[in-house]
Amino acid sequence: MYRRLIHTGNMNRSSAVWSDFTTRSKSLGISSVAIKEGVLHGDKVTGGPISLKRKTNRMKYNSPALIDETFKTCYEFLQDRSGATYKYASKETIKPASMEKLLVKAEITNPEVQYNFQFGDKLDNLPTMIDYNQPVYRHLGKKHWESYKLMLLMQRLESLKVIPDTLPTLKPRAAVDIKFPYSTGVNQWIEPGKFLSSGVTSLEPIFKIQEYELVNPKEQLYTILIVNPDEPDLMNNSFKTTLSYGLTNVKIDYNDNVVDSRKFFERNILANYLPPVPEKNAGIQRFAVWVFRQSLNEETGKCCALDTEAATPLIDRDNFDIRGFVQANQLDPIGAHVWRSKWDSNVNNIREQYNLPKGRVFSRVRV
Amino acid sequence: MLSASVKSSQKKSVTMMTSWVQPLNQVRYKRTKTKGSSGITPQTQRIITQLSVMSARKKQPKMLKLSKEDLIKHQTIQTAWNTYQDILQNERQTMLKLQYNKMDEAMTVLKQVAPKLYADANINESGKVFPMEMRIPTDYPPRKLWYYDYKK
Amino acid sequence: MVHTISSIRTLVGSKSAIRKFATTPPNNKAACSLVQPVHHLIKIDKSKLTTRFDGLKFDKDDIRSPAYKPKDTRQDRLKEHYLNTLQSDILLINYKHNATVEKGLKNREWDGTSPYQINRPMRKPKGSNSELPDTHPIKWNNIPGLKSMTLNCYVREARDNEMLTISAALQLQQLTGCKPKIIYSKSDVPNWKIRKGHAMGAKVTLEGYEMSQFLNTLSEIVLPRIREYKGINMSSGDRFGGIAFGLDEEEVKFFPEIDLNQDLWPKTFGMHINVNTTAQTNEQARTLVSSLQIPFNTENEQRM
Repeated sequence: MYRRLIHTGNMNRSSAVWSDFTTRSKSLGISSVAIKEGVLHGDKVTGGPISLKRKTNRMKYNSPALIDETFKTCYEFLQDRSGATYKYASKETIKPASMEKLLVKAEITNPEVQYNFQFGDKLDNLPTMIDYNQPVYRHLGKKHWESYKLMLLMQRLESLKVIPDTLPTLKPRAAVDIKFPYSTGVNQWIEPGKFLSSGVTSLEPIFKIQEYELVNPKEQLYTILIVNPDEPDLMNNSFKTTLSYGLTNVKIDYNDNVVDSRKFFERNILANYLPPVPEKNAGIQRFAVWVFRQSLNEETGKCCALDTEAATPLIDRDNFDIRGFVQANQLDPIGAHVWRSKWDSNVNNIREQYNLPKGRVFSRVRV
Repeated sequence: MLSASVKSSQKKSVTMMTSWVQPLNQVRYKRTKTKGSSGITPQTQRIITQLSVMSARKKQPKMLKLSKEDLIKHQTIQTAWNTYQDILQNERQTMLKLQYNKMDEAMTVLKQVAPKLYADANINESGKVFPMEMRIPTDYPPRKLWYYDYKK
Repeated sequence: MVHTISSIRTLVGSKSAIRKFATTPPNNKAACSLVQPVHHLIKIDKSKLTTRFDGLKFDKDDIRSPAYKPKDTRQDRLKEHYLNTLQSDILLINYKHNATVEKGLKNREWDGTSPYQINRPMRKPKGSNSELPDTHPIKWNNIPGLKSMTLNCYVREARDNEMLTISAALQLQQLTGCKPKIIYSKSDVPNWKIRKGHAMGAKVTLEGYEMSQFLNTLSEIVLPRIREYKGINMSSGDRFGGIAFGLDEEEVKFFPEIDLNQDLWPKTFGMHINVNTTAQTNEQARTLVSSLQIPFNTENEQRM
């Protein structure tokens, strides 16, 4: 019965959709010719899988019996179904959201797409391999993000009480990563909740905002805030929130989404970067990174830009009310990150660099 | 008494010395029999054998290590098989739904046309037992289906 | 410049709800264990967060998982027969025109005559200790099918010799190819000289191919060879789709696994076979089980 179904499929098939790259993106195929050959037609010519680097390993390796023949049948079967989906998706009346789903359905079973995604770097992605402009890679990326990084982030935000200390809660929709790439920093993506020394954080971080949802990258603007909810407030015997860094009206793309100095200018800066300089014995300070989508005007489809010149004087950096700011500017939180800092011997040097007053030293007193 | 005890202790120390100085001619081999294995009764041995037959440790096959290409091929085959099973399942469901709807339709018509026949057709048959002659098909069925008077 | 914390302490009342700088413990540790409120909207699976056992994070149908088990590796005659033939027959047999949902017994409201009834749990149903499920008419999507089978081997002599449970487990394993579990007595029964927690036998639950295989062996080899076998009692059934019957220790010897080397089996054990189905009543379950070539004792029924 299976065979019969395949044969009728063969007769009806107009073209092999998965090997046609005239309308489809190049990223939906494996870029290396040898590996593509190995996946699609078996590795009898090369004498073993190309992905094994050493020749002896290639010679030693045994594929499961009849895998290539079975694969060929299955590939054609799935390709036919994908062709039917593409045909259905070519109708003009389909809404963008359901079109996105159809395109995911048409490509998710493609072994080349699966190869690219499973063995490609998902964070520092090469657009020739993993192109997040393609709905299928966005879908796979989202699933991958939800399987680990999202849960880790939420666990850290919750256990470090970033929610609800800064904003009440969060349902992340975009992956946010930060890095301190300049000479003083560590050139790697920071895990949420990590302790960073004051030297590392002395220059501003860069942000990577990976959108997985269908947005309009040409119009959508983003605001990024870094707040510190642990600044001692001696007058009230409490703590206050300070604003460490603020960027607004930032545009990103699905692939080109690292927010560094190339991406913004003076007019995008809400508040210049002030590095973490915790005072001695003031405890651990959390630095929460919040990323917001700015609201879209539904009539024009344009994004409401924040007027930085008007907004900047109104912001009280030393006693920053993040909830009020978010509400006033209709910001939609889509992602967050957090790192921690505490006093170390380098803090005084950082204070000197930024012309900050000398830090206080707290001590416990018996009463 | 005292001297005797001193003597004996001296003697002891001497023997200890000699045993310490002498080369070790007893070689200790790896133990092949378990301690007191001779004491195991055949019944215990039987239980041990039975437990070892049931133990899963030696029956676990070695894990397959697939190359990247073969992993992708395997996943594709698995996806295709699952998709195909879904298609079959949907087909069967559609057929059963058709059957049910047709039965329903026929009974509705029968109720209007011939109420007596309808009453006969609508008798509750639940609990009906299938005949023993209805066999699960095999490739090579035997000539005789059921040995009613089987004797060993 | 040194600020003293104690000087500020007087400013704020000690009972205020805000986090206080002066009294915040160094590690933010609560003095007693608290269940913290959850603020996140995301479900966190902690087993996925550890980096220690990456192999265990794969799904069980992923070939990289140690728990992977290939499926559909061989033809399942019984399943195919059920899907191709039996399903539509059973749909026909159970068809009843204009059938409606038959409500099972449900808990009853109190009549409200006494003020003490306000917070009481509802009254138990009439004629039953607990609620009973509704019976839905059989349609294309709830045709009775096999769910699982449980073979239960209770060895009475095991109260004197616990080792017999191992032999019973081995017998089940040989008959089914699945790993059995030892069963333990749940309570003290002085009349039977049974104490709680004593190993009393073995059981195994079969699903999928193993179940079909066992049922085939049973209906094609074992049951036909039992002398004067009348069939399963028509009254068997647990009202909710389960049917149980038994084989004694002599009948178990007809299984080819035991029959072929009888010398190795000086002692065999009888067992109970429970067939769990998705049927909703005894009658539906009986129809289903009889379709798998398992005889029922219909003569007795007619006489009654």
